[in-house]
Amino acid sequence: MNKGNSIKNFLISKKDYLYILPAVILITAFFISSIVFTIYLSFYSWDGFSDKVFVGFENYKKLFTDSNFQISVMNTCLWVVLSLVISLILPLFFAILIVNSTRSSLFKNIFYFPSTLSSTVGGLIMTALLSMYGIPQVFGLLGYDSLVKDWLSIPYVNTIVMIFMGTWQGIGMNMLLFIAGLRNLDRSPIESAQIDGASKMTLFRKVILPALKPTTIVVVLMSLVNNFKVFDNIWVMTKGGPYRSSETLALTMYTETFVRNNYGGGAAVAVILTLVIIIVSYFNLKNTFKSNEG
Amino acid sequence: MKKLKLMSFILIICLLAGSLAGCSKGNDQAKDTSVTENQSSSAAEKDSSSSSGKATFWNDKLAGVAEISKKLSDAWSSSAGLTVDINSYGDTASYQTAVSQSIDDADAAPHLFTWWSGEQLETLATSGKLMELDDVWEKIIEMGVSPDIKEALSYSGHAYAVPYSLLNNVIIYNKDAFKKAGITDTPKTFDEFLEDCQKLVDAGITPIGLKNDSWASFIWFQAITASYDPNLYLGICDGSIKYTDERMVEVLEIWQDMFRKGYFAEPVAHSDNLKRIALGECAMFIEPQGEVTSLQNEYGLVSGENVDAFALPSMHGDKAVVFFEVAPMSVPAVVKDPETSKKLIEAYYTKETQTVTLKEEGIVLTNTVDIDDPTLAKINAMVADTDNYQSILRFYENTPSALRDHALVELAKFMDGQQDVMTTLENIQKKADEVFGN
Amino acid sequence: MKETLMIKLDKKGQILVDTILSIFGLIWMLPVIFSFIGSMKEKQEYNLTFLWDLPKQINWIENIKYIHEYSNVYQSIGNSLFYSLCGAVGSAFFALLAAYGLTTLKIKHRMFWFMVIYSGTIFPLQLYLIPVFKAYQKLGLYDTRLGLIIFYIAICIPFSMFVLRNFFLGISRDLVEAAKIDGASDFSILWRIFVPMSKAPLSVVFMTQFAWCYNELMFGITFVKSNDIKPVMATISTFTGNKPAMLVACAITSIPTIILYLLLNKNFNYGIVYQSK
Repeated sequence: MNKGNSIKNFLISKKDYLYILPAVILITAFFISSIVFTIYLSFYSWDGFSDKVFVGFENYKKLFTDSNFQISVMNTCLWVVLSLVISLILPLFFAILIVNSTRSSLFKNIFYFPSTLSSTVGGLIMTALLSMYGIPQVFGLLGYDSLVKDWLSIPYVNTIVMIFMGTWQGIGMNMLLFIAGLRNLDRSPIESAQIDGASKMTLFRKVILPALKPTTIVVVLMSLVNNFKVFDNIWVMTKGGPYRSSETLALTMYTETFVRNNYGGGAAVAVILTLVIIIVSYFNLKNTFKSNEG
Repeated sequence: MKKLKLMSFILIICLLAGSLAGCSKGNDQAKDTSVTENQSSSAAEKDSSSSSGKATFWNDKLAGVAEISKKLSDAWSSSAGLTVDINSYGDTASYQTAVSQSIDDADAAPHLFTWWSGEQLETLATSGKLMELDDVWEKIIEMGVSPDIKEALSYSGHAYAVPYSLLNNVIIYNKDAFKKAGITDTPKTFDEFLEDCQKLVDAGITPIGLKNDSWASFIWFQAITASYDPNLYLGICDGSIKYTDERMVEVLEIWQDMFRKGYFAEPVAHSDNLKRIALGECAMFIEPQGEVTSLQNEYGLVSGENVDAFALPSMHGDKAVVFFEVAPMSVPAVVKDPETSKKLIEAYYTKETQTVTLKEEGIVLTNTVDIDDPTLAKINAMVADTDNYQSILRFYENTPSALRDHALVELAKFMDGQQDVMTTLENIQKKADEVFGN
Repeated sequence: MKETLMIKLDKKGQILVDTILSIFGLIWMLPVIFSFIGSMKEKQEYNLTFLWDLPKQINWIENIKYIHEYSNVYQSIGNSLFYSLCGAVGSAFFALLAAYGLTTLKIKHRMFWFMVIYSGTIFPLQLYLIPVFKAYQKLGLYDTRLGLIIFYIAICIPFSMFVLRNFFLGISRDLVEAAKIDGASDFSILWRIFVPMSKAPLSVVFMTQFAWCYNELMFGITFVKSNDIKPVMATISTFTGNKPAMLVACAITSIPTIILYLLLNKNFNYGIVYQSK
């Protein structure tokens, strides 16, 4: 065969890769190189200024024996599970109501509005509300004096409080996705089920929910990844306190690196967190791929 | 449809206008080097600092207070005969990133930057990244800065920083609250102090306000320990006395008793703590002197009238202890024009600049400024009165950071009632054994 | 098209739905209402009063004057609009290409390449601070508009690609085959067929990524330090000492993202998500 031709053919057949090339280059240059640097750093001891000292797996060993790290892992799990449940149920609840309401646009806008604000703005508003002189005072006025304290200083209660506060800005997108999903549902199974006299509950569980599965999967995936990475909310409200009881892995990574200047240890936490996220997302993503390739 | 088209049109116009505005050169107010689009080398575009009389000061202290930053910049520029460009970073991570990545780069390094004292300063100093400032110190001592501070900022016989602030931590209290409880004068003995706390409780006011910052659990710990015996405090800081010493047990038991009697309020956010002191719901707290200024500027109290300060009296007749903290400023060793840096430093301690730092932040480092504020004047007088008062470096910088961080967590748990005296002390001592190599 | 109700509800059910929504809606709006009240107060007044205490006066003029004197908010807004526009458009473009490539073209190991691009969303953001800062300094991109824009484009690509790919998966292969038979090139299929169909996902992508870039704080502070190129959130965060002024600044700066939402949200109707049959 003509050699020139086969090289030309080779290049032309690869031209499809040009489409993904810019994206791949940018991601690799910025993000993949960063994670590689982080993995490298996790095997060293570094304070940001002096020379790096190779320590092998020391950082990892220290982490697993550190009780604060264990608490952090537990907190992360608590956050993720609780947030996931709330960020599925609440938006779905609103979405169903909105789709059936007479003023859907108005309510949709009201509930999405906080999501347009930045977390800087949101954080400011939330801390103002949660300060001892904010919402707790309301309970005081209603007679529940024991509730007039700083809720953010109570371990584990503060995590729940923060999660709820996070929903104010956090559920907008999920709600929109559910609304779109609901509006795209096939009318016929619903109508025929109603004609058959199914109760609203059965209607919901057996017809609507299953049909929403693709949307739900997308929502779950996005929420999972985001909740593992949550940082701004917690940092602004409790900084991981009191006595490090509300720290999650993202915060531990931050404080090890920038507060305790233990860049190696922080990198190790980052690597662990990343691995967890990858594993969790992988299973979800495999789903979308199965239905595609298969 | 028409409305939509109109709105889209408006949005696009705004975007374009915004982009044009965004693209334009820097505005005068910032007095900054302007950077146009498609920069390739920011270093090359920036004015070389040596020729245009510009100086850069980086800090992590003035980020949320644009007002103070501007006033300081104006006074400082005028004193120095330079244009002082203040870059404030509110985020620890961003600040550390900026400093750690710029400190070795002659083009990027600032002329002066704030840092943290103790181990973090030591790291920079011993790795040769800072310029030695011994000659500058001679000048600023002449200008009125206390030579005692130099020691805390020196390593291996050379000074590597000058003070941005020297903050004294004392008990600041709301005079109206004291009056309401029938307390006419500040306590002179520790027993009187406890009696005053009881009077406040009886009057329905919580005596002491606490803030919920997790790094702050050492504040009353150090005060009560030093009140018991200043040498006890110094001993546990340098490891010569164990935390499990019977005297420390007694100290914590006294502290625990104060909690039981309701002398401490639940910890809340710092600004809420200020608020409840201002409103008189709590009577006092231990804070750096700058909070006196905050109470005035932010909450409308008047120093001398409703705000005053005193130091916690000693239990056993020693001098009362005032704890101080120093925030250092340093010069990178690679800075292109060290003369500008030195000029900048000297201009910080002029009367003009110090007047602004005093008025806006409650910080003053020289003795050349008239201190109008009666409370601040009183605090300064306390420190100068070495017969009756002793200045000691606060716990946060006075003990190795690994031990300190551990102790903070244990003390916080103790304060929250999560664990008892012996467990707390034993846990801290375990870490101390590790750190001090006992 | 008027939105049709999903389930036929009787009047009682209708009122119930609307009532529940109204109650929640009010709760949802309370923080905004309190902020509105707060923005009218004067600094010391705000610090000393309760959230719901009514202000003694409407202090907006003073607060706006304060903002003017101590910052260059309008320029920052302009900066952010520009950065966000570039970031959203740039990332949408590259994401379109990538999504098209991964769904329609002949690329081997699609899942691998997808994961490579999607991995941009997996890592905690703080990871990027030091490596990118260091690299930018070496390349001279630190403290430049271009540097920040490139970063924003890169960080917005993964999510955009994810959404677009999801959507493209739902486009019938027959359409593509038919176009190919008519002699259309790959690129023109993308541009002339896929893109016009993608009004919904493109609206989602553009709106969310623009908002993300606009509302972003951490990288804006770290990669830029000159006041005249600062993005808006970095500038606002200098006001935390004077809360009412900050609230006013927040209100002013939130306008673009709100307008964008109002304009684009009507497009979120069909097939954002690939429906598996």
